[in-house]
Amino acid sequence: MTEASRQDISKSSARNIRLLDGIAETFIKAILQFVHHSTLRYQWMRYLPQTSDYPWDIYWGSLLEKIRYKLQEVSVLWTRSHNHLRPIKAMRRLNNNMLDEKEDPLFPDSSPERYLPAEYSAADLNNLNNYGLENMQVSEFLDKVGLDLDKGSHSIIKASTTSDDWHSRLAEFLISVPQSHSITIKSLGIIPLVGGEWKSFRDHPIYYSHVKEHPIPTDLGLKLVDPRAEKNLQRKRLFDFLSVKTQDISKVRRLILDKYAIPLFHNDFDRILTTSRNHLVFLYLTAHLDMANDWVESDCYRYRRPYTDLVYFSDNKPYGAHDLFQAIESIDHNKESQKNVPGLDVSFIHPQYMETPPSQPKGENRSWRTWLRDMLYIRDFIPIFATRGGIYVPTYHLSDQCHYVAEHRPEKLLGFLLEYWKESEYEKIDKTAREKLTRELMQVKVPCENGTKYPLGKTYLPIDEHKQRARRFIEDTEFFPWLLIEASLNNDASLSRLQVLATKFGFGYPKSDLEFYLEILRCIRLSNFRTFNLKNEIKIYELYGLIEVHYRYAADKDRCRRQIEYAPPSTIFIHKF
Amino acid sequence: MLNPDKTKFFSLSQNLYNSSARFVFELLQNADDNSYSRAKASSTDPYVSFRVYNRRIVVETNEDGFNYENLVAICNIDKSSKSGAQGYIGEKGIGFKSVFMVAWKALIQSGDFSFYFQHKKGDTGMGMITPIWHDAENDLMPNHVTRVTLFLHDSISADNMKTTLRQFQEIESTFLLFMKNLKKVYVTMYDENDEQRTFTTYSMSRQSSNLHVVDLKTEILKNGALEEYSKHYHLTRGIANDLSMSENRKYTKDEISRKAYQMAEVVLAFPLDAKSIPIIQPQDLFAFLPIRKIGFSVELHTELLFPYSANKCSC
Repeated sequence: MTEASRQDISKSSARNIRLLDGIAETFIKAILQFVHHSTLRYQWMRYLPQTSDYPWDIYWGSLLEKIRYKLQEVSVLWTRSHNHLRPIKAMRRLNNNMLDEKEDPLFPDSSPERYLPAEYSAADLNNLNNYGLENMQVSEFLDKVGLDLDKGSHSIIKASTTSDDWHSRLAEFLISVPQSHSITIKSLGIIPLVGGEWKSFRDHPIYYSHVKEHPIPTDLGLKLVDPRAEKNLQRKRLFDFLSVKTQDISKVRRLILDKYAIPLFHNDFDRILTTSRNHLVFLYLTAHLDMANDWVESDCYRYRRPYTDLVYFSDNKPYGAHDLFQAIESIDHNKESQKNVPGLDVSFIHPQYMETPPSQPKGENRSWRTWLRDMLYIRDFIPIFATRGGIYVPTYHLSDQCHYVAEHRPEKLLGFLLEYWKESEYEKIDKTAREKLTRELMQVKVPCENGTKYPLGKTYLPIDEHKQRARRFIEDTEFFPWLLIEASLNNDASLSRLQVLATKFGFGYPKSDLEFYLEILRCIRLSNFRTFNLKNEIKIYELYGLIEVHYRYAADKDRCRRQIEYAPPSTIFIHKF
Repeated sequence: MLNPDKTKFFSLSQNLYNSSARFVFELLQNADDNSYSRAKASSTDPYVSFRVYNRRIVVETNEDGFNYENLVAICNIDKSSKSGAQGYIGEKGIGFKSVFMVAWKALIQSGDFSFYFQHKKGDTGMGMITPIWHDAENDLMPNHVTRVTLFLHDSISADNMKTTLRQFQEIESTFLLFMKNLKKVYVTMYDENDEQRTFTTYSMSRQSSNLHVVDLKTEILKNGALEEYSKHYHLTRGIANDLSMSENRKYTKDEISRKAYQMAEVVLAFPLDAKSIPIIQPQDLFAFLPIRKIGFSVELHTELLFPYSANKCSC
C-alpha cells in the first residue's frame, strides 16, 4: 500500500505533536514488558531508534528525543548478579583492560551494583551509547583499587592465591592510564615488600630485591620488593613506573660492613650465624664488582681475633685441622691402641659457612673458600715450624700444632709433615735454625711397624731393598725400627714424596752400610737379651765379619772406628758358656 | 424516507472522487468497527471474507447483524452510530460510501435485512443513501453472516480495476495487528470464468506462553499448493493523553462534552522471529492504515491526522 498513497501525516498539527508523547510512553511501557522476558531482556535495545539509522525529520526526530528522555527515568538494565533492575545511567560498561582472562571484572561489584551481566552483547550495549550508557571511568576504577587495598585479609591484590595473570592485567591497566591519574596511582600502597608489607614509594624509597642478580640481604634496613612479584614482567614495569630503583652495589656492601663496625652481642647465635653467612655470601658474590671495597672487617665476624687466634676450615680432609686436632673419646678402655685424646684448642669456622657454598661468579677468580681464607684469615695451612721473638732475629721451633700431633697423634705425624712441608719456606730459614729444628723433629717418637714408639731420626722407611738386606739377619719377630706408614700414605706417590722428605731431614735410610749393620746388630741384641740361639750366633758372627770388612776397606778408618766404638755397648756379644 | 440536504450530496460526491483509492481498507475498517459479541461468546474468531469475482466483490463478516440504528447511520452522511470519536476513519462522513467509486450497486444482506443502494455516474447521489429492498428468496444466506455484494461498474477503467485488485493482493497479515476485533481475513480471487484462482487466509492468534506476543499466519492456496508464512510480534498498547481536537473532523456535542477527543490509542508491534529474537527492519507506520515506512523498526499505529487536500480531480 505504500506506493499507492502519497499522503503523509500533517506534522505541524498540535494533536499530532502531542501524540508523540503517547507513542514514547507506550514504547517505554513495552520495554518494561521486555525486561521480564527471558531473552528479550538482553536484546530489546535493538528496537531503539538511533539518530544515525535514518534521516529523521524534526517531527520524528523529536520522538527519538522523547523516548531518550523518558528512558532515563526507568530501571531497564539488569545487574550482573541478576538481582536488580537499574536505570541506564546507574550502570557502567567495563573496558577490556578492567577484565580478567575469563572476561569477568577484576574487582567485585560495589553496592549499589553497577556491573552488567555478560549476557548483554557488546553490539547490543552499543545501541545504548546514545541513551546514556557510559563506560566506567578510570577514576572510578582506581577507587576500586584503593578500596581493595584497604580490605586487609580480603584484598585480592594482597592475597597469595591471586594469579599471576590477574596481577599482570591490573599492572597493565595502571601503567596505561592517562597522566592525570599518575599522582593517585603513585600513592597506592601497591608494592609488595619482602616481609609482607605493602607500601607506596611515597612512604619510603623502595628498591628491587636483587642487584646484578645477587639477592640483597633483607636485614639491612632497605625496603625491598618481594622477588616473586618482580618476576612478573608487567608488574616490574609498574614498579618502574612507581619509582622503584635498583640499589648500588657499593651502597649495599657499605651497609653490610657498617653492621659490623661495632662488635655483635650474641643473644641469638643461630640467627646471627645465618645472617652473617648471608652477608658474607653477598660480599663474596659482588666482590669483583666493587674491587675498591673488597675487604671485610673480620674482627667482628667471630669471637676470636684473626691474627692471634687461629681459625681453621672445618672440612674433613685428611691431615686437615679437623682431622688432626679434634678430641677423640676412647671407645674401649681395654684396647691399647685407643685412648682418650684431648683435642687441641683451636677455632674452626662454623660448618654452616661451608655448606652448599655459593658458586664462583663470572668475573671472580677466587673460590668461596679462597675468598674467606683471604678476607677472614682462615687457615688452610698448619705450620710445622713457628717463630717467636723479634722481627730481626726470629727464633724457630716446632709449632704447637706439631707438638700436639707428635704427642697425641704421632701416627699422623708423617702425613702431617708430608702435607704441610714447604720446601720454599724451609729454605728461607737460616742453616743454624734449620739444624735445630731438624734435631727437634728427629727426636719425636713415632710408631714403628710393631707398635713401639721410636725417635723419628732413628727410624727407617720400610723400603723393600732395605728390608730384604735386613731380613738376612733379622727375624720378623725381632724389632727393627721400620716406620709405620699409615694406610692413606701407602701408595707409590706418597712413598716417593716421603723419601724426598726423609732425605731432606736425614732420617729413614741408612747413611752407610756400616751404620746399617751396626743397627741390625743392636736390634738383634736387644731382642735376644737373655736367649741363647745358635742361629743367632751364626748371624752375629757374620755381622761381625761384615763390619770388620767394612772397617778394613773404609776410606775413613778413623771415623769408622769411632762409629763402632760408639755403638751401643750391648752390641758386643758375649758368648755364655 | 429521509430528507437529505441536496447541496451536501454534491460536495459529498465531489469529496468521494478526490480521496485516494483505499476503499479496501475502509471496508476492513468498517468490518472491524462492527460488534462481534455473538461470535466471541461462541469462541469463534471474528472474520471478514472477500471474494473478488470478475464483475463483483462479495464481503462477508460474522458480525452481530444489522439493526435499525445501523441502517439509519448507513443512510446518513454526517451522523454515525459507530463507536464515536475514537476509531472513526474516513472523516467527513464518507466511510462506506466510498465503495461507489468502484461499484454502482451495493447489496447488503444481514439477518432479516436485505436491501441495496445504487449510484451510477452522473446520478445525484441520492441513491447512496436510499435503500431499496431486495427480495432474498433465491438467495439464501447462512446464519449469522452479514454479506455486502458490490456490483462493479461496467465502465470501470482497466487501470482502476488493476488498482483495486492490487489493493486486495497487498493486504498483509500485519493489518490484523491494529484491528480491534477482526482475527481472520479471507481473500479469494476468481478468474474471468469465476473459477477460484487463489485462496488466502490471514490470521492472528495470541501465544499461550507469552500473552504479549501474537502470531500472524498467512496461508496461500494456489494451484493446489499451500504456502505458509508466519510473523510474530510483541504488542504493547498505550494511551496518548491531553490531545487537542482534530481539525479534520467534526465532533458531536456529546463527544465534545465527554472530551473523548483527548485520548487516543497507541499500539506498538515489535517484530520477533520464531525464537523471540528481535527482527530489525524499517517497519510501517499505521494510522488505521499503513501510511509509509518511517524508519522505525516497530510497527506503529495511532490516530494520526491526514491533511485533507482539496485538489480537484476528475474521475
